[in-house]
Amino acid sequence: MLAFAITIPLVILRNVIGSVFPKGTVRRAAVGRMARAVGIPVPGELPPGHLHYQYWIENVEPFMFGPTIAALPGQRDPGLPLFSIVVSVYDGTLERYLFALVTSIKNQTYAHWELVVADATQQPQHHDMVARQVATDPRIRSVRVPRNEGISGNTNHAIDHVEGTHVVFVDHDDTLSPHALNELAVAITQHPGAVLIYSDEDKLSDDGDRRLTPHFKADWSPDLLHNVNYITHLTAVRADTLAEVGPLRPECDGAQDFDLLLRIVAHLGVPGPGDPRIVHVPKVLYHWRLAETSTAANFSVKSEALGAGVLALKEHFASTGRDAEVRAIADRPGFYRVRHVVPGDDRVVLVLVGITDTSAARARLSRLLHGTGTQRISRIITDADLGRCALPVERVSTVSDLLDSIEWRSLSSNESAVMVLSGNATPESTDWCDDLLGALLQPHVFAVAPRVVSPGRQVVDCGLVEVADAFVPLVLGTKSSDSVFGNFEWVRDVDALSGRGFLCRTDDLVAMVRREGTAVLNALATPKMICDSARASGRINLVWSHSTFVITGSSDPVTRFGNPQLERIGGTMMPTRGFDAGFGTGGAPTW
Amino acid sequence: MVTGSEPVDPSLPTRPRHKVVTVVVCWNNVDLLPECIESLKAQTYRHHSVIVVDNDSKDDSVGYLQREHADVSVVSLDWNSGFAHANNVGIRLAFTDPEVGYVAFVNSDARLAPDWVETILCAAAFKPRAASFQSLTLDYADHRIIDSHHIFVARTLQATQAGHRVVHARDFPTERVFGVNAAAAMYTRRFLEEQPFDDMFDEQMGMYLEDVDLAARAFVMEWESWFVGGTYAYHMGSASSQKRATGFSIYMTYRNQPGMVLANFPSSTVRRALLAAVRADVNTVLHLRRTGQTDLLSNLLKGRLVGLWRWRKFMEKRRIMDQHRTVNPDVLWTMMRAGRLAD
Repeated sequence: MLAFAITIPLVILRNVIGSVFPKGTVRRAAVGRMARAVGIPVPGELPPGHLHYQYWIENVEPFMFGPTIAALPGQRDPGLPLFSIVVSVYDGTLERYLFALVTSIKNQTYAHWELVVADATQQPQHHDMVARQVATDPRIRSVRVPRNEGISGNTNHAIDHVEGTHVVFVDHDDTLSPHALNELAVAITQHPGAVLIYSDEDKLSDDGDRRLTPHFKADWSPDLLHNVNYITHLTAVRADTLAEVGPLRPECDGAQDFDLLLRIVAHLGVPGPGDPRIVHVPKVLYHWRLAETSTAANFSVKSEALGAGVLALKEHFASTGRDAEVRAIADRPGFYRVRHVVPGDDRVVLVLVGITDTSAARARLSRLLHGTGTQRISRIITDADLGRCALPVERVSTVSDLLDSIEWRSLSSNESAVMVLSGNATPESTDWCDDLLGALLQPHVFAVAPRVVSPGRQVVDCGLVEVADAFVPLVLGTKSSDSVFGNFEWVRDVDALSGRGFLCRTDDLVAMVRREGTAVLNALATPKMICDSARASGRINLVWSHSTFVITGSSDPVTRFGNPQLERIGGTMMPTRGFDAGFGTGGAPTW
Repeated sequence: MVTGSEPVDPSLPTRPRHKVVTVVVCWNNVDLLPECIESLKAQTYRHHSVIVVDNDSKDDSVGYLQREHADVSVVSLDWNSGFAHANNVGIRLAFTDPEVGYVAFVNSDARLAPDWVETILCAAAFKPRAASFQSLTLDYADHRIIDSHHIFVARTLQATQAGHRVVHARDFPTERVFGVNAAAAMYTRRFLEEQPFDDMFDEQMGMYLEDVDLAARAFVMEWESWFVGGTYAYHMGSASSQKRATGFSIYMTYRNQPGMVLANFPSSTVRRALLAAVRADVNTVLHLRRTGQTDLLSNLLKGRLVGLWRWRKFMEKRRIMDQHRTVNPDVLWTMMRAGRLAD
């Protein structure tokens, strides 16, 4: 009786709240904000920025998809790709998940596909469930796996039976956009050499009702892939390449897709950014369900994935003949810290420019030279009076003196790189110099910059991207590290560096400054100069986020480049390279 | 071992079932018939014929058809037997030809694009569990307005017309939906013949919701309904019932809804949805009062009471459906949100 007396009013209250503040409305979001302010969790509340994504889904996305490639099922056209979708199903698969996946595949606007289900179910009722779904379309086949061998082993049984030109990997609880295969087919016809094609993705609530937290990915970037498996889904691989690379490896279960991607990249000879064999389709084609057991919802469920990821990365570097240290980042599951070992006894020249406060600069110098800095840095060139120092200090006043000094000495020594520092940022870690130099000495890299944050951990500088002829920060003034363009703690392949602090090769710096004809030391590194020089040499600029510099003092305000809109919408982010999600450049979304 | 490549349907016919029959039910609307019949006769698909079932029209419908369209089969009933019964008569007549594989239903106040049958037949290939198809149905007068994308039973247990009165800004891809609107829809013979009942459309319902009932029945028996993109039908909406008293449609809808739910839905789904269903009814009443349509309130309440009173009529159907209902209630609940996969 007492139980009824308590529950009935509660149910009535829930219904009243549900009527007055329906889920998914602005009103509900407002209630959620108010309740959160006083510390009450509200069920069904949407994550911040969700309404903006809903708006984008309804008003922008439908018009992004290209025309459908007409293809009748059954009539095989040799000029068009045939996608073999492989999925592994086991006893834990819920029927509503499998139904949603199979229905989303049958809904595809592109007809040349086959679905191969690796049926590792042991219970007869689960086997019946798979059989019923298989019977709904002749393009669906199932492969009986007698014993559940884990995701890699099961999926390999399906891979053995594919007949298509491209293999597409999906998980049993996720869904595809109806345009997914058509967009992949369009990309393949436009890039005939494509071996690996990947798209953007977002998350799906467990009940499948809501699409949340999109990830608009970066274009192909090998350094970012070493940092995190940002490609994941939706991925299509050419079947012949997959046959050469070999199937998934059960010892990498949990990170088996990461391992496969790394082996494909190694097989292609580590293609650099912009390589036509790896194609990014900048459209949200995959919905990753936040199921209770999925990696999307709770990474600790698959904690074995961490060790597997490290193993995969180590073997990747061993097979491509590179020397790198790999470890998992403890509190960020799925993120890996890679440090390329500097092969020889290379030295770095430290150039300090734009110093206004000499005493603060001296204090900063001790931080800079702490740790590995003293071994790596051979000398310091500056235009200010720094007094006594552990290393030789040269004072120069003009750019030509500087260049002479660098060139004359570097010719006869192993000073292979120059670190230009013009702000008042100091490194957090002691091994920053080894870290940045290792990244720089990769053949495809022009310049490397550390990530710069404020003392309050706000992102101050993590690279610049070119938007409508202006350089704007990738991100500015936000504490949250997750965004629709990925995480700010990731290594980034950017258009330009701000010049607050960057490392580049000695000969590149000399050539760059000579060509641009700079007369003032302060203008040694403007974003445009770095961007143009990198493009002219066919190499890229990296923000190496494993090294973080913190700005000290208040004399270095957050510099804003280009876009005055950023003042108004401070704390938002601008597009990454290759981003084309249909926004204009005027106003960025704030989700 | 590879399975699934053997024929899915063991009762595959030995003779080709390539013919399509369109059934049109008419009742006192000779003014609309010419456009409908001419659009049917203009179909590009060749193996297509038309059956008109006349529900004892008092105007010159039968005479017009016999004069102008000698190639159209006309069945004229001597009493107004209701939309569902007339459709069933049309189906039985169509099935006398063993080569008929598909039966389309087109309301007399609708017309079809010339490639409607052909486009849907292309989409029907390789869908062995397909029960029904519909295209985008646009408003008869204003083609920029959508009349229907699909129908579904929402989580409030209310039959819902998806896309109704939405601006037609873009085309929609072919996709699986909960059910199709019988204003212009095509059903497969496989499905209609595998019904556990003698009458395909429920004759106890008369008109309204009989297509939702059929859609729900198909869904819980794991037959598929498909929306097919790339072709259009044009529908006026309620041309026949406008001639009845105001509120007739709301009365019939509320009268038939409990029966439709009772006959088809698993009890766990009904329990799950009951609170929201009551809430939706209260909201509808409040909406009608707020907008001043108080004359409709009596129709609504009368329909609801009569509907609940008729529960015994549908218990027999429910007992039969209990033997044939195979769908997982979670899957059903998934599709009861929007009638399609959410995106």
